[in-house]
Amino acid sequence: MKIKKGFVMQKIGDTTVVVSTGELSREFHGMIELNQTAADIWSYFADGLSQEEAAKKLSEEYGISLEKAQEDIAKIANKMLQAGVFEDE
Amino acid sequence: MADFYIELAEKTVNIQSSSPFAEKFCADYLTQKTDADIFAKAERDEVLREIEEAEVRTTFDYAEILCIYRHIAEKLPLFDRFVMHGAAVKCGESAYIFTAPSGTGKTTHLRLWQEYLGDSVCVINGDKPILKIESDEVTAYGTAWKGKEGLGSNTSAPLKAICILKRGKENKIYKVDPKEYFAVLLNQIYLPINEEAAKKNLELFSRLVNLVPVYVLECDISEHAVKTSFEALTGQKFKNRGNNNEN
Repeated sequence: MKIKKGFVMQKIGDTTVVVSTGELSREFHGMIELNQTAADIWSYFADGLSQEEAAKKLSEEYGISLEKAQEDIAKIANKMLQAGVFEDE
Repeated sequence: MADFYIELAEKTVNIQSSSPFAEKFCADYLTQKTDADIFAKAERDEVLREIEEAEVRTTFDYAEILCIYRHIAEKLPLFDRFVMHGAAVKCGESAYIFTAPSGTGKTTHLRLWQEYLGDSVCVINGDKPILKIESDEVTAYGTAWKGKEGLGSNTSAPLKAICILKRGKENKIYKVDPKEYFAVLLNQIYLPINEEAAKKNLELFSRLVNLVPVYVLECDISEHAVKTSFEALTGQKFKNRGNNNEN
């Protein structure tokens, strides 16, 4: 699951926003708003982690069980997928 | 070919264009300085694409200067400045910017301010002013690019409020949590194609909404609309000082 090139993330106050730039802005309009957890998960994917690796990292950083982390990751990853954030495999 | 220098928001820009039109277009901004911060030139292909994609029929010369401004806008964030789509006015020593998607009525509201407030109001730029964010102060600057109405002048003032315009049946204005309007506001910013510059632009945007209050104005096109926005934004009492007030 690789995030498309051209997304730019910025924390503004307690909100994190993601917008598209360059070529991507022709196909992707608008803005995505992320809470802290979603922003961290987005960063894991942006760093190239797999879904499994991301779950492991989330469970470590948030001190939650691996099952809970897998659930959270799956939920966010699914939303990102629906939003068309990932490159086609 | 023309090769000249202009000063925009206190930065020197070197422009190269294929026709002398660009230099005439930028007449109010020409400078003797030659140590350019930004270099801007549009390639022929790009200008042709601009003409093709334009909603209204555009001459080559005009399309070229639009492309040139885009190149400038692309670089500005690296100098703590960016272009915002909106109408910036100066009243006293303060600037206010009205912003909204095209067609909402920014220019109409701007003209109403001119009509009812007369000479106490000066349009900085009716379409695409430059905002500078430095040492915790935001300044709005005029630019040669003034939109199709050509409203604006080579001046600047500290920005005291951002006002999002909505059409309404009643006139009312309220201060909002900018968070609720990030999408609306970000849509009015030319975000650079270059990722580093885009990232910098978002940082500047983040500082902007931290430094300058955001209001929403719901308005019609009456004198009362001007009274509503003027009093809330400037904190002064509205008095009809326009040319229409002959009694």
